[in-house]
Amino acid sequence: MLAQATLPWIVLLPLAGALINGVTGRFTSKKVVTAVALGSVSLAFLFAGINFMELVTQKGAGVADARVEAELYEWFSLHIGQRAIPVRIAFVIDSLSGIMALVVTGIGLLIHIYSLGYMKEDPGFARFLTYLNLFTASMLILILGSSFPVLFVGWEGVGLCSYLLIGFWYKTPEYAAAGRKAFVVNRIGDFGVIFGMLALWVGTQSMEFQGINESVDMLTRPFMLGGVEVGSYATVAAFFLFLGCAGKSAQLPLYVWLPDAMAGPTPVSALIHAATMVTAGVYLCCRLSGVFVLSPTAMATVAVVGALTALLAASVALVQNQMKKILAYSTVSQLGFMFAAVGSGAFAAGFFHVFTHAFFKACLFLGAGAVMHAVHAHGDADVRKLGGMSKHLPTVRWTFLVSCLAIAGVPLFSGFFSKDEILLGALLGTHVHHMGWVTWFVFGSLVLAATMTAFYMFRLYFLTFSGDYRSAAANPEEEAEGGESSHDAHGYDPHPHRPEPAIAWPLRILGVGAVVVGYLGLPHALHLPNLWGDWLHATLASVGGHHGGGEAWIAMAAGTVAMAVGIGVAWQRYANGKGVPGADPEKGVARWMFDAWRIDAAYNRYVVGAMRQLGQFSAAVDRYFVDVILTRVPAGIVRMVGHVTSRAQSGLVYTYGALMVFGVFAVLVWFTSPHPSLEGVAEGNKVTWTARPGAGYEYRWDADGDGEYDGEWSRSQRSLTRTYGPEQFTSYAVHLIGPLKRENTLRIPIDGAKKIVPLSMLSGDWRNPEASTQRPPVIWVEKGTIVLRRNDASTPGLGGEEVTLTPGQRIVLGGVEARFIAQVKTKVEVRNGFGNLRSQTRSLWLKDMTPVKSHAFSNIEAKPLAQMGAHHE
Amino acid sequence: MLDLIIRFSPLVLVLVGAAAVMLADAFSDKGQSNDLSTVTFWAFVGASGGAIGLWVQGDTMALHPLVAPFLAADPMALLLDAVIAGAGAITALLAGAYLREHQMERGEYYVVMLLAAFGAMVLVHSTHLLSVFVGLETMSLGVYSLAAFRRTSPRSVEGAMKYFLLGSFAAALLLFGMALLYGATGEMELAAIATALVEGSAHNTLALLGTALITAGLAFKVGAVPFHMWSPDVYEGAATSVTAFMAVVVKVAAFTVWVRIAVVALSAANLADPFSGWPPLVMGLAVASMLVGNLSALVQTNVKRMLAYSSIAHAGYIMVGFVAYAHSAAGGDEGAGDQALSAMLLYLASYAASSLLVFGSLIWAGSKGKEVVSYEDLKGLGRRHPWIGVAMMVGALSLMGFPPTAGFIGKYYLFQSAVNVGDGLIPLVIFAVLASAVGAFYYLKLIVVMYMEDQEQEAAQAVPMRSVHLWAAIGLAAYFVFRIGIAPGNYMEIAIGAARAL
Repeated sequence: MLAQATLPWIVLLPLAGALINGVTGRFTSKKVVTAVALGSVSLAFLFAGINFMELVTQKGAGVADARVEAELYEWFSLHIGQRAIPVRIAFVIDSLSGIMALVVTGIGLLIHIYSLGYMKEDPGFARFLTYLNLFTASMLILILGSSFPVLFVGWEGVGLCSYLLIGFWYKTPEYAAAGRKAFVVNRIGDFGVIFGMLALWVGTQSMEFQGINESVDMLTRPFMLGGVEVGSYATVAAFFLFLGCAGKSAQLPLYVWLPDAMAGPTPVSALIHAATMVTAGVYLCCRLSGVFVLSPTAMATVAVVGALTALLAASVALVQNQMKKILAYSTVSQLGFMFAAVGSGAFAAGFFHVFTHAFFKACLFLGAGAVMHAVHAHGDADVRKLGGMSKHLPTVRWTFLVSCLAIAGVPLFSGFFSKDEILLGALLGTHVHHMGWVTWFVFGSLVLAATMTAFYMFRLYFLTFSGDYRSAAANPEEEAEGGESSHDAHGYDPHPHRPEPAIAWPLRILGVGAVVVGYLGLPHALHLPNLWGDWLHATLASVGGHHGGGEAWIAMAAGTVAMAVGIGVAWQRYANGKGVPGADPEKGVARWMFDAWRIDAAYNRYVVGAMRQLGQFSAAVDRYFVDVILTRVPAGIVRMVGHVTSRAQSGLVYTYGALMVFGVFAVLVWFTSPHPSLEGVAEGNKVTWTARPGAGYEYRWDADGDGEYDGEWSRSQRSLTRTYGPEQFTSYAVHLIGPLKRENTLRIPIDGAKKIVPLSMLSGDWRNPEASTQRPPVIWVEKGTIVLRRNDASTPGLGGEEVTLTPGQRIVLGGVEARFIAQVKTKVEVRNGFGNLRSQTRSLWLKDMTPVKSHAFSNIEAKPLAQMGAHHE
Repeated sequence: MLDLIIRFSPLVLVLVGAAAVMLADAFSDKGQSNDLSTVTFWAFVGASGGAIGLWVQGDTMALHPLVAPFLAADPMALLLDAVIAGAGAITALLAGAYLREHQMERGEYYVVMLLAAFGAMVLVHSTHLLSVFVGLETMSLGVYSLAAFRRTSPRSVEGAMKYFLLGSFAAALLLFGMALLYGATGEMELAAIATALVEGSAHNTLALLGTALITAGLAFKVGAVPFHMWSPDVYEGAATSVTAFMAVVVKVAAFTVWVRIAVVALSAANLADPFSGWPPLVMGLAVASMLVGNLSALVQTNVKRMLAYSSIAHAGYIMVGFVAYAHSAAGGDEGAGDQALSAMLLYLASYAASSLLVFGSLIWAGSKGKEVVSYEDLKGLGRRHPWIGVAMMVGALSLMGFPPTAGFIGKYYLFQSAVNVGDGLIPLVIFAVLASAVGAFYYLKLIVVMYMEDQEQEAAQAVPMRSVHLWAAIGLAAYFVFRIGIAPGNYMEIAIGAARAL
């Protein structure tokens, strides 16, 4: 009960915080802003904890699929035929979203606290906390939303906050551009999410995740595009969704925004671009794991893309010299690990890495931030000017070291456990995508990437913390002067100051987390209880394949060796202030790696350049075509009419009265004259004619079209049914139904004149291949029947050159289905109480007269209509 | 007796409020300032609360036989009581701000306003031709005098005079129509008229003529083309707080009574046939109103006049729902009919909230000596006074039908109910959507002028007024604009409930 009552507030509190600070933050004191921001997030954390305990209780009671759901209200409903499917604003906590909610609120809270210290001198302090709160709320909407549309609100919300926070210092053009880049690249991904959502909606007719996962079986049916099968619904949906995930979670080919996103303040990099938002893609894949596992192709793609991203980003991180840049590429690489796991069907392992990564990567970023804060580096810190920080900043050093050990995968630290599970998952991936080479490719790439990870992390660690502080040593004279302005040009502040408690404590807590959270998922090789796997078992799709002993040992050994090699090489090259890189690499592979394989440059040249040209072209079209011809001309016309209509507004009351009189007159005319509005509905040769009712209406009919009324005035005969025969037909036509349901009606003159069936109405294969000339068929009317001379048209089953047909008969004429139809006519006259008369005549084609069975095509012969009717009764 | 007082407590509370205001005004010393607008506000809030309470209680007991033929206390009446009283409450606050600022506050204003609202509420309760006429005239006489309230302004008096003359003409038409309908059926009670018409005992030609004249009379009250000519002059001339009251309360009440007469009394198949009865005529009025209203609004330079024409266009949109109702009712689809009716009711409520927001913002932007009435006055307003700009923008966007405001939900449900009827109404809906696209032009022009154009240097800039009353009114109107726009669910249910009970 308590859990359900508090559930919506997990989202609403940070939202309210953002709202309050957004409106009043400018005017209130920093204390109030802090209280609102911190208060809302800590309460949200508390409530998330309460809900999580509820889940634990439910699990304890043996409920496999433990969940808490709270509905706020119905948002809108979608209609399929008569069925209305409501889309609710509802939040769900289950084993998956419960963990995410704790991570987002918990780590979010720590980073809020950290920001108090980090941002305290920034003039945009209140704005920053507003955005952070808004981000927390959006992320929670994304996680807790029970249905896809709600998730999408959060998905867009975090994208917006990411944009706002990357460009937080928007006065620097590059930072603003970085924000824009993130936004634009994410749009491409969002397109994928929308299409994926639509595919799932069409496929399962559900927007709720529970509903989608329950009816995944419906997704195995083929998805047709223009008559061609392009895969199952599951494949299509999974591909589009993965495109979205690749955008949000910075995978190939959409990863390019994340390294640039480091332009934002460091707490943002830690919270949004390491711990939470960028893992949303992994979360979505886990949420819809039931859909993904249905498509081996999509799974293999996810795994390969993940592995490639892990490898590529790790290689770039090897040679970078900026602290946050290294960490950014490291994040991209670690996200690649997660997707490789997901693509191999090891959803729990991928999600486990999301969890452990949140701790150690947040800690690393915050540590980097603390270093930058200490040496007054703005934007990013160059490791070449650092060094020796272990003496100046012991707290930061120890927490950073612990996190490095974790991410490198040193046994007993959290990263070891999750990476081990991923490697094992990759080895067992064949069960999912049934492709052996994918398994070995993914596994090999991941081991290589893990080696690089250990290397670049310890390179970063040694360059930053060991040896001596290079900015202090390099500029002794400036140190002596102690000028505040001096460190900008050559080095950083020569006297790094120790972090204040608001910065130090989050680091310590995250450092502890970076060690201990791994014990939730102990290695399979040791046959120890794996709390993590059991916890998520019911929520994630389970994949065949057991955790064999052999593979588990291989994975663990490979991971450990990779780690040892990486750290060893780093130690050997960089420990104790050795091997400080000089200038940026000039050429060769190192330069390519330094430029991130020049993928960005290629995008700029080929994609952005092409887009720019397209944009210029569209602008020209807009300026000269849309603005002038499509806009000004109609707008001028509308405006002119407007002047006319308002010109009647003369201000003279008798003009107004006159118009009213005119109005009353028009109303009276309408009501005093009868309105037959005759309509006919044909059913075979029988037509039911109906005129409209009205007060005091009397009707008389001329149903056979002979020009004379059939009876006297009658009040009751508002409708009339009559069966028509050949003598009442007023005209004939051939109704042709071609391929793609293209319909044509060709009227045949009743006086017997010959009519040519135009080639355009016949399909492409109408020709008779044996004839030398190609003459179209000719049709005419003769004694109540229709005669067709087929000429060179191919008419399967028709013997002679000329055939006599009766109305209603169907033949195939040059690949087109042709039916001979007739038209009938009727007339009604209506009289109302005022004695006013109004008559109306209507003609109707009898489109489905006397149905002919298909076998009749082979033996068509002229028959009177009456006989044919009898034949079919 | 007590039962009747309780069952009609919204009306009673408004009357009591009128008496209280009258007494307070009469017995107060000259020069002593009484906050009559607050008294009026609370009277309306009480009435609104009473209506909501009665709705929740859901009493379906038969009324006293003396009252039963004349007035009903059904869910539809209660819902519109709440809308009218709510709009009345907001306009009372607007009047408090506006009249005081422009130094023309006098007690009569509130008395007349309460009595006019009482007439409107009688109208929505009416189930008898007599009470319809009495309610209509009570409302109209009040509104005529309110329109002339700015006595010193020739435009105000001129507008009121025109309104009165043409209104008498319309009243005569209506009365004559009622007499003919009575002659045709021998009945004055709406349900009994329907019975007589269905059974065929009615005199057909008289019934047709009566229907025609009643339709014309009511079309005048809702401001449908070609019976709309009074509205731009009156809207422009009257004090802005009066314009707001007229635009909302009069339109809501007139539409309600039209719906009630058409749905209850004129529902016989031979009068309500979707092709030969009154529905095609309503469709014609709708098309004409949307066309003329939108096109004329386009070329106005005075914002109040523009809003007058736009209210004509809105009447046109609402009539689309009316036509949709008639088509579904004739097709025997009660669910779709109820949906169309409820969409009309929801549209009326959302139109009321958005109009009040725009009129409130107009009042807010001006003060003693300089009112804001033209686009020229609005130039640069959004940048000089961001809050007014935001309020006006939200109101304009809502009138335009932009999500997530009430106007969007109103239009969406209205047009959807017409689409649900089937292919027959698709052209009408397309026309309505195109017409509202034209409408977007002049609403956006408000925003463009406020934010993107600069006033000329020498032009006198209006100074916004400062009034707690006004801010409260703006807040309330904005609340409803967003409340309906973001979470229309339960309002929609209430409207469906009202439509079903009719």
